Amino acid sequence: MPLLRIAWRNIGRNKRRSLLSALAVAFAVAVLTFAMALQQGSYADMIYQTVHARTGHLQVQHPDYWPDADLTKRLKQPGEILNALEAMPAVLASAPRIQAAALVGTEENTFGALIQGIDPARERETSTLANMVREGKFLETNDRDGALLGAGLAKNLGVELGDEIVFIGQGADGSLAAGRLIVRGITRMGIAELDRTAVTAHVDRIGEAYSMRGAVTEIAVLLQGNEEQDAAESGIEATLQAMGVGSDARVVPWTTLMPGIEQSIKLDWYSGQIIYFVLVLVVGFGIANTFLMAYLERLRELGVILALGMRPRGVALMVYAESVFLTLMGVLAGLAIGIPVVQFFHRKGIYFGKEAEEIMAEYGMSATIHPALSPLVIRLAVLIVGGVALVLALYPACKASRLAPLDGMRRG
Amino acid sequence: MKILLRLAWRNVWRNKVRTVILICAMTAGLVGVLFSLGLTNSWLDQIRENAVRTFAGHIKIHHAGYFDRPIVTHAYSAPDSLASTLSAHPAVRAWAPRSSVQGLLSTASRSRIVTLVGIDAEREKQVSVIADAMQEGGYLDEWKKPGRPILISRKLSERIGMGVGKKVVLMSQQFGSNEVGSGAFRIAGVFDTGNVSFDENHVYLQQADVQQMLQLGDRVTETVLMLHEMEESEEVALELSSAYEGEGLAVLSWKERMPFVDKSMELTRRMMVPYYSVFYIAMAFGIVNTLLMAIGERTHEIGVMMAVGMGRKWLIFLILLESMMIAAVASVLGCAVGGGLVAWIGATGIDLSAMAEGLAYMGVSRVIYPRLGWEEMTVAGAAALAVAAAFSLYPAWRAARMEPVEAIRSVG
Repeated sequence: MPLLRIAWRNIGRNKRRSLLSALAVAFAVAVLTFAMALQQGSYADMIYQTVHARTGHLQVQHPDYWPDADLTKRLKQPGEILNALEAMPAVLASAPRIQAAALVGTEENTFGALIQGIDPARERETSTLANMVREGKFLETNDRDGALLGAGLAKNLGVELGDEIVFIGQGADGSLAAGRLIVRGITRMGIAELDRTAVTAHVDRIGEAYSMRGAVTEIAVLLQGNEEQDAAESGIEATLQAMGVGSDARVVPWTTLMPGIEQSIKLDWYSGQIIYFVLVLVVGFGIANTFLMAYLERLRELGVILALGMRPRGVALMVYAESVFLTLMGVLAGLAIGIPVVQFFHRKGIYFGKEAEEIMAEYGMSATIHPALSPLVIRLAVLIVGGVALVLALYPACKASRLAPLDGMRRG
Repeated sequence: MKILLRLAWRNVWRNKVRTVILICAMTAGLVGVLFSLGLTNSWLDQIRENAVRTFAGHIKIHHAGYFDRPIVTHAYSAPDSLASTLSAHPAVRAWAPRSSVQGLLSTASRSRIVTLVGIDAEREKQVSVIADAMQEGGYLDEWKKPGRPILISRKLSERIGMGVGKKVVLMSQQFGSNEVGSGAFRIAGVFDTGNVSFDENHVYLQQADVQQMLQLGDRVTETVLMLHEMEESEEVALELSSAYEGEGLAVLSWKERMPFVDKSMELTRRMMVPYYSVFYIAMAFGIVNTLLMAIGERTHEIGVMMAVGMGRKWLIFLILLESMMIAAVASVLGCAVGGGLVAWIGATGIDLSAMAEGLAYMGVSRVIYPRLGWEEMTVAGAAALAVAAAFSLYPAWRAARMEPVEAIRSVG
């Protein structure tokens, strides 16, 4: 194709200009790749923290339990379901829990709290709760009298390790649920609201107190990996049906349990896209000038080519091809710069500082973000930048297709 | 000098299409910067406003130990002089006493931890949005039926499956003992402040009912103040603090009470800086490229100018002027379009109801109002000028380096 060869050579005609234009495109691609990888990395972090510290990937619950947290809407045979889950290859671990509201008090003070009844051995496998114990120890496997208190709650109540606390709530049958527990450990999640209200105790103990008759409110399920969530969801659903408990139990993904996190991720992602588009527009206009100049400079030459008998379509194609080559070079250079940079920080992590740590903990994030590259990020960066550049390049190409030979020769 | 200005202006418009494209690029960049600034502002405003207007007020007066440990024992009887001092203080727009404690709200089979807020119905109207947020039923002072009234949020109403007229039971710790006080209340109204997480956790009652249920006597847990000017919060808090410290009270401004809000605003502002600089770098590419082209075309002419005695300094100055002129037009346009866009959207607000949970997760209401200060617009515009000046130096230096004779010889 001589046309394409001419277009390619034209790029070399004004090297500095071509270089600058390609650099601008490269800059946009690199910035987009990095920024989107940073976003994706922070989401992965948020999801990790949520899934591993709180909900698990999925939960098995009574169909009417969430979001009203009605204690009568419960899982009656947690043991059978746990056994069935254990047999599934996609499931890494699972743990039964009871969530209940209570007033927790000492001799002097009383506070509202959310009591979580857990099976200590299973919980260790399923969540990172055990790692959040800052003072004292996590519950022993058969410790039915011990409790872990959130740091804020412990401070408000004025209790220390070994102190006794009393809880009062309303059991599933409307009766008074009450009991005494001994503080074995203090937990800190970094989310102030949780640290102010969290109490953890043995699931059997809480079940008895709240008249649950062996039932639990949820079974948290940790999967082998994030990717298998959808498949696992239907797999577990099918297992529940096969067990004949399909009408009393369903699978709820973490995205349903924590809608705030999923939505804030979406919000951040889409508002990011708008900003990137504007940025690319700025770069795009900048290089549109190059495209246009490359055409205007050669009016005379193009006029001659037309006069020699080349079709207007061919001329337009030649002008357009030049822009395409330039854009392509920029995009490739951008990826060549962007990808290694992202990979470097992916390994090293970007630390946002001590101050940020506290604030980001509140949103369930750590202050070190590892940008995560994905095919989606690269595809989007290339599509947004390439798309805008190629649309803007249409302008000189259209003009070229309408050029009259004499006009071109005279004006050039 | 005047000639130089005229010359620069004419040069700018010599190639209209090119100049217009560059102006478009810079304008788009500025609009992007201003729009995201407007969004960030609305966002930060909301975080603060949400905290201040829904509940926290500009200043709160607590028992000295309450901030550290918000326990009912830290309730206080307002000193006799407090009411008259606050009412007479010129900076104070309104104030209201509250008796607010944490407790358990129960229906037949569901219970939840909530903050019971005992309010002076009349005074509360002036310090928070609660009276304006009523959706169903009526505000506390409209309750004429027998039984003690309670206001709950739409969200909580859905969670517990109870609406206006239904009965709920509240439990909390009594003052001066560790007995649990309880009482039945009728739902008088349902409110919706727009902040999902606040709504879920707060219920409103008549202050007298709370005081009676918890044997508080005339004690309150806080006095909340709204000022005419939020900026005076620290100053007024300091002044009142010196007057009431002796009485065992602590007077705290919203910034001191919610360092988290203040800090996360700071952090967000700082994190936006690299974001904005990317836009300016993108503009810089366009500027350098366009100026290089313009100079390349005028090689012959520049040679002539130098040959007839134009100094290199003046030449640099001429090119700087051209760049600044383009930037000035773009700045004015960008500020007009960007500022206009923000003002236009800010007037109606952006309704993000679909993302309410995600927003609440970040402490923001469902409608956000982008906003821009003159100061910010000036800085953003001036930054564009500065970038134009800085990045015109390279092309200018290249022009000044030309040898007059060689330049003249090149084809004009």
